Amino acid sequence: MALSRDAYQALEAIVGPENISEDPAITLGYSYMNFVPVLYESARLAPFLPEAVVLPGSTKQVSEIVKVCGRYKVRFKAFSLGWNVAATVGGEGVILLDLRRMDRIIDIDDKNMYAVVEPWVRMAELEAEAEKLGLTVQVIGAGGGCSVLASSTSGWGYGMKGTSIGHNCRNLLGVEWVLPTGSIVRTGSASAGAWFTGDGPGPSLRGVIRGWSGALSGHGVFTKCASKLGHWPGPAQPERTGELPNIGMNLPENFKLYIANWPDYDRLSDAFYKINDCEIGMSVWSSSPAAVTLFATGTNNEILKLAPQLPREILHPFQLQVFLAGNSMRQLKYEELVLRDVVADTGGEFVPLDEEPLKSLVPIYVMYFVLTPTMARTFRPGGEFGTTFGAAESWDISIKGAKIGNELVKKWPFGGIGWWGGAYQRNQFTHLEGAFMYDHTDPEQRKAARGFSDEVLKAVIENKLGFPIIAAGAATEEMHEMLSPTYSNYPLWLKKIKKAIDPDNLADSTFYIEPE
Amino acid sequence: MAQEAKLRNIVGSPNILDDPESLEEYSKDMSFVEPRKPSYIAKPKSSDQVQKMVKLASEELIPLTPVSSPGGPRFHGDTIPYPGGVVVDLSGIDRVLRVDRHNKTVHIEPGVTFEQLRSELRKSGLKPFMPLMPRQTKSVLTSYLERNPILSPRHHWDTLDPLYTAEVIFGTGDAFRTGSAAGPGPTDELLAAGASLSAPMGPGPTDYVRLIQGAQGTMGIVTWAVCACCLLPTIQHPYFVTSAEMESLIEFMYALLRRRHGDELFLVNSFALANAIADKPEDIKSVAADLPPWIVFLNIAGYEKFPEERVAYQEEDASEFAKQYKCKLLHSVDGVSSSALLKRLEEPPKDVYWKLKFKGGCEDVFFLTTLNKVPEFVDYVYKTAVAYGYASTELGVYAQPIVQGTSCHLEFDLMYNPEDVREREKVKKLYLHLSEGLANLGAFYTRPYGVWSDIAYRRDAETTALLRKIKKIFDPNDILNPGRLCF
Repeated sequence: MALSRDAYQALEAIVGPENISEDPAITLGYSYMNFVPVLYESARLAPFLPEAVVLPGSTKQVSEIVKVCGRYKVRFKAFSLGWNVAATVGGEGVILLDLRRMDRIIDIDDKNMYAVVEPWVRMAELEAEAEKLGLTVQVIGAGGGCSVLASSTSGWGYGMKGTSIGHNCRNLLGVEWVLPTGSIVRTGSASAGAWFTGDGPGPSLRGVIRGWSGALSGHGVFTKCASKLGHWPGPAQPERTGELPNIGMNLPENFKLYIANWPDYDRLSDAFYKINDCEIGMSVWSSSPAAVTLFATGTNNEILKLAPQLPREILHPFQLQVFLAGNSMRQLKYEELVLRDVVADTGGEFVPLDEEPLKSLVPIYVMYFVLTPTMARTFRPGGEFGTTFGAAESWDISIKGAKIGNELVKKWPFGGIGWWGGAYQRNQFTHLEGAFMYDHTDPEQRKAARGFSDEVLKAVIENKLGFPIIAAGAATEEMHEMLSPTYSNYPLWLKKIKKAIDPDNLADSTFYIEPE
Repeated sequence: MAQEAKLRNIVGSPNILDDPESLEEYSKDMSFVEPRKPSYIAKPKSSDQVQKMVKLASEELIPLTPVSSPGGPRFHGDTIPYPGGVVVDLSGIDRVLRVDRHNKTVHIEPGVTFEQLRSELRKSGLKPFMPLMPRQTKSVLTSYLERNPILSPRHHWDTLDPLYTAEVIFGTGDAFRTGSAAGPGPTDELLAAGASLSAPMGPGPTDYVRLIQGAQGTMGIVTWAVCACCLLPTIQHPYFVTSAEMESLIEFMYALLRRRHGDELFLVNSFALANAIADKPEDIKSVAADLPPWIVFLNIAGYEKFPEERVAYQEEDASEFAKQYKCKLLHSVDGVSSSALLKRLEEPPKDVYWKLKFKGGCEDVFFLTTLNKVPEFVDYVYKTAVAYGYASTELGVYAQPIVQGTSCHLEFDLMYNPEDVREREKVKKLYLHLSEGLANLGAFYTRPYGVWSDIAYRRDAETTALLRKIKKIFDPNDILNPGRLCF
């Protein structure tokens, strides 16, 4: 369904001919995504291409584009830095607004600890600027190449620093939002030109913008947002080690990584609760034994070479990683005291990290996993991965999911589940996500990936394990229908919200919800 | 059947009040909002009764005004009923349903007060997050729903805190559970499975509890909520921090906030502190006169593991910041002890509410800003007060950092004698002038009571239009607290 010439010309008049294209050589690139096999039959290419890709350069242009879409009844979807299939168009007749020209860090409020950004500001880019001011970003697991704005307003937001900085859905402050009608809303104090809160006056529109998951452009386009930052007690410009692709961070004396093992999940959980009760650590995290090898190496060959040299302790299945970053040496010493006591008290044992080969891996691991995660490395072994469980709930629920998942996966051809997750806001809630790796070029593996995802979805519901991450990340109508009866019938309300905000259903809501 | 009979069928005749004294009592509060009498006061005893009432109201277009605190004085006009409507008094639904030490949460009903919650949590080694010396009858749930700031900015990660999840009866009469309380399945099964119901977001892509918080009961009536608690400290070292300059105190606070140091942390002027600490009204002015003009209260607490060590490192860090910003860390100032204030913060006095002690009446002007803007607002309010013949030395100021210091609740307390008609009129004029003038300076009325709703929504047409659409979804017949906010 090609875009009408009138509509194309109207869009071209807004952004200029150099900022619009319907050439398949361009549009195809926006449909090559990960997580495709879990939703569609194909290996990597989503089945739909944008009718055109438009590159607005300002909020005003976004608003004008959306109004043109209304006039010609063209559906649209916003795209910032993309990551998986839910970032691209979900059907025919949809144009994509690639927001790459809106890439400014508008402000970093050093005192009040937040940044105001446009959609194409990458997390690593903001992190580099924030560190100069003694601040740090909740860089999400998907990587430093992801959009700060998308993570805050539209979906996901899990990351290793969650216990000290929080989840990005909770770090969102003021937002500038172009509604599907073209109207521009600025939430909270942003309506008065200040960005320090996104809530109020009265009931908060932030509640409509973003929940556990987000609308993924299903109710318009976010053009600016403020996101809360954490304190960075490290150097303004950290000293790097090594060379690409294995750059590490030379840890200053007030930073220290600890990894400890426990005999079973129950004692690990006991330690997890106690550590978080004491409110220590920049990061309190659990990840599968493969994490160190995966994240601290640049190639699969490196993993194969490294594996025989690794001590058995680092490959232990019941492991926590605690990254301490003291604001002073006094604080570091206190946190070390607490951590050692908890580990001893709960029957844990530290993994020695001061001997090779681990000693050399620590700076790389801290850089690529703790501070600016590079989840892209997860694709390396199999070319693709799927994700399961991962609800935002108590650590008890997270661990229960891990126990169930480890049993379920045995009959599927993935060689196990790689768990990663931890605490948010000192254990207010947690997330423990089970990734499985597979060969996306193999039709049988793709079929198995879908089958396993479906089985886990049912297990999550049957075992009362919260809201499944797969439905949070890319919910389809079928999933909403399945979840509705056991989750307070939330889709009935969501459909009404969609209808109220987008009466002509112009914002592509394939991964949000269709209107009432 | 007549409306009254239907209401009596739902909650039982003894729980419907329509005697003149009760109607009079619920018709007014301490604010400048004009009194209005309801037709009835209904006192449901369960979520089920609330739901039936809302369904009836929706069918028969009966305005409902929810009230949760088991007694006054009330202050902001938000519980003054719509003429001819029904006040839904939830104060009889007042159980602490569950204390979860493991996940540091508590499951409460609307009528639970801070005092009730404090003694219940203490048994499990926990304490509630307190606002600044709430009155004895204050509902915890209302306080959290109304974004009343808590004293510990470190624990206030987000505007919602300490509110996590809730059960709400929307204006349609539908019951809904928010966040991770939504499912899968009923609440008792979730809890039995090990859930904490502590993730506020969702279910799915909407944060429903954010639509309920700050809504003054216009979106739904909350029948229970799961809220955050704090570990009970094993040791506490409270301090007053003083300086010749307010700006220095603010820099000191920023240094602590950035590092998430300290527990209770806020800034007051001498008059607010004197009102909080003095036992007798006649002592307030003399206590205030002896105090430094601005005082930061800082409490550093230690918990279950290595409490002394925790307090020690934070004290040493705080001392360094104090030195850097030319502030003094003191255990008492001019005979007023920081420990005495801490005790009052934890267990507010049972006698007269602290803001009413001086003259019997108080009108607050409060809003959100950032800490570095506080001096500018203070300067404006002091000058304006003087211009209206109100002594700036009798004006309370309270600045509470929230959301870990990202923003700040700033409050000006105008104490007056409500029996003195001329004084009341003078304060009313000052209040109205300040409300508009502060907004012009950038004050953000996140809790827009009374005249502030007009000021806030008049300045933001797009938000107003969208909020009205959202309201239509959850309360299509406009029965929940009509006439509030922009509805």
